[in-house]
Amino acid sequence: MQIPLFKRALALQGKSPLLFFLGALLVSSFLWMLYQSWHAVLGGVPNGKTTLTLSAWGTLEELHTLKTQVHAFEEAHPSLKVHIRHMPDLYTQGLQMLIASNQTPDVMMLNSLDVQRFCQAGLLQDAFSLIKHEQDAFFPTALRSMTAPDGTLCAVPRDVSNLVVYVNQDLLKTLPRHTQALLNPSWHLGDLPAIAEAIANLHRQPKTWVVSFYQAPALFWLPFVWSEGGEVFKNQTIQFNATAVQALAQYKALRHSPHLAPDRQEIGNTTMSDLFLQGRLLCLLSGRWTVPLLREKASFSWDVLPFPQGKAGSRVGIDSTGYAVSRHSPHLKDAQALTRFLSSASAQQAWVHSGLIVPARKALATRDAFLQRGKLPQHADYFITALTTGMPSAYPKTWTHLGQSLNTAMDAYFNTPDFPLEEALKDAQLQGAMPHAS
Amino acid sequence: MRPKPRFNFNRWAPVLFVLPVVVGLFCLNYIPSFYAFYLSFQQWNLLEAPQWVGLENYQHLLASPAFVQTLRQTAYYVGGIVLVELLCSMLIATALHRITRGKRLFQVLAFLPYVTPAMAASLIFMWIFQPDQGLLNSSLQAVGVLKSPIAWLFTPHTALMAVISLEVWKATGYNMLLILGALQALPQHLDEAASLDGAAGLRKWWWVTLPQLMPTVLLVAMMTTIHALQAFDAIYLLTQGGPNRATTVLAYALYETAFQRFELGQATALGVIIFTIIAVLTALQWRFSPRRSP
Repeated sequence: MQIPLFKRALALQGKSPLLFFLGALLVSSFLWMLYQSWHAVLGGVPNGKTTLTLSAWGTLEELHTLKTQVHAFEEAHPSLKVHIRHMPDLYTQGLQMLIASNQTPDVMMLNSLDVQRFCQAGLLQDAFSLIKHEQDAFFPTALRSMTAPDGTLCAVPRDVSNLVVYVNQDLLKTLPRHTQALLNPSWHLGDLPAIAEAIANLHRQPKTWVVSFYQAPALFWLPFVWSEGGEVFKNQTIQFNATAVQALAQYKALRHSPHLAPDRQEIGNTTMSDLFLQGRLLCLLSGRWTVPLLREKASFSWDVLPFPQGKAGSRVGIDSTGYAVSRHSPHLKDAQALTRFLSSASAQQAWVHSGLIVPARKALATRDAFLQRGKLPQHADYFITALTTGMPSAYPKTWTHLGQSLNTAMDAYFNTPDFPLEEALKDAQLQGAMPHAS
Repeated sequence: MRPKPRFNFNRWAPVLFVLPVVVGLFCLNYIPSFYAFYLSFQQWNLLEAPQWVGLENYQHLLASPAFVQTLRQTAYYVGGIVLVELLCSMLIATALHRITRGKRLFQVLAFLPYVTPAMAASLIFMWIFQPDQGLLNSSLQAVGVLKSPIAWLFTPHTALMAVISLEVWKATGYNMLLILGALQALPQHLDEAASLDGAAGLRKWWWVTLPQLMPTVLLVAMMTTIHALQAFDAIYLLTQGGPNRATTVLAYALYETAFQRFELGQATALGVIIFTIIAVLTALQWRFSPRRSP
């Protein structure tokens, strides 16, 4: 007699209760997970509250700071609930996928580079009304980096980022006095070889270098070009002028001069901050974000100096991070209220305490809360002076595309001795980026 | 009037059991694939609405020297992996087939890399290939083969080889098990007949064993080719396509185009090209694989 199939399937129950139990457990966990995801995305709004979505990146500590601020906002606005979409890694990719699937967050944390792209795609609401009564409270460079070419303020800046030079003070003290004296606030790019010579004489094993070297992203090598008066961007595209080509060649030469900057052949994938922490780099070019890492892990004394001067002064790029409101948000007013709250002086103060950022509000940057006297770095005010000498990074519109091509070109150029820039740019399909021969 | 027939569960049961899989395949596989094909004729940056550009994405790819370089590297990468993996797995399988003691232990040891997470394996290989304190350079310098260290992962001529070595290390165990299974299932009478006729050693292996193994070897070669064409994780973790794009293969180029350049149209066009290559290779394998007699 033929036994119906479903009875045969159920017969498993009698034969192996454990198998049946495990199967049931698997199915119920899957259904529970589905319910939880569904609930997290669409549900969880008690008593008909309006839900706002806020996207952000950052470490768990940063998320904790953000959550504290969001709780404070929710307490001040009982009819609103904020759902944080935290994407610690590949944030831009994740955010663009959300936008493509019509799930644009109401408020987005964005850096100035993405702000420009998102703004030009018509995705962001003009944020000027949120700060019109207090625009003088912000660093002008911070506002400028968040402003589109047509004058629209696309996001309210939370912080400004620039680059300074972190110096290993213990390593510096091992060098002759006249070499130590070279590392002063008005030091010059031309001083680097003399420092390298001193290091080479005293620190052969393990090999020690003067300054970090980055082939990408561009923000790390652009100061070497800009400080010598070179220009790289023109008419929304990449166009090196003759000074830039020369400055770039000098930067490349750092790698091939003994003990000036580490060669990739020598260090492989050891990061520059690791080399600095190991005491094998005298100077590390980096931003304020490195402060918490060094406070936690550096076993030596360290401080910061402004970027060394070239012919045009000390010019590092200035970028910002801030909060932008989606133009398509169904809760525009509430989203603007959240943005205003997150960019307020009290909210920025909480970030300042972490030591991670340079606040976009001038008043906060000059207070002890930011300068943190008694904690390293001793000269935190150089982060502020760099804002007056630096320049907002005006990247071209199609930077995601051009930047990739430029990184490819620079990879070839910096890592291949005797490889001309012209060839590297041609290979990366950046024809026209070289200056025209006159 | 005839009574209405009752629902015949037995008749519909196979359909009902298969239905969830078919629905899943359609929703998660076929529909996205067709949509990707449609997208390959569009320009889309994930921010603005897609725009129809016809064959422009394909034309741009085929005219790009970077794409030609990527194709060449993919051929080198796939060829290298298939050859070395097949050779290693056949050697190990033949050796394990012959030994009588500790066979299980060696099988487990050979299979272990396959179950090692890609992240852990990549970290180990990063350390092996590290220029200043890496295992490879230290060993080669200790025995006097190398005078100065080589940055294996950061030199264009050696980087792809280094990535291939990781892939080979990871997948050889799995392929070895397939070939060993086939070896153990071979009928003994042909082997004995060849021995009686005076054949022995490599000659016997080449003329008697290998032809019988061919269906499995071809299957392994095909699976390895498909896997290598889709290679992404090892490259992403070890070299990120560098140095100087020396390890950028098709699958990595697809990721880079889609999620770093945000050119979804070109990325899907690249996906269609990868799919076509795999489809052609699979068809060739079907066409030329020996058919077993019934």
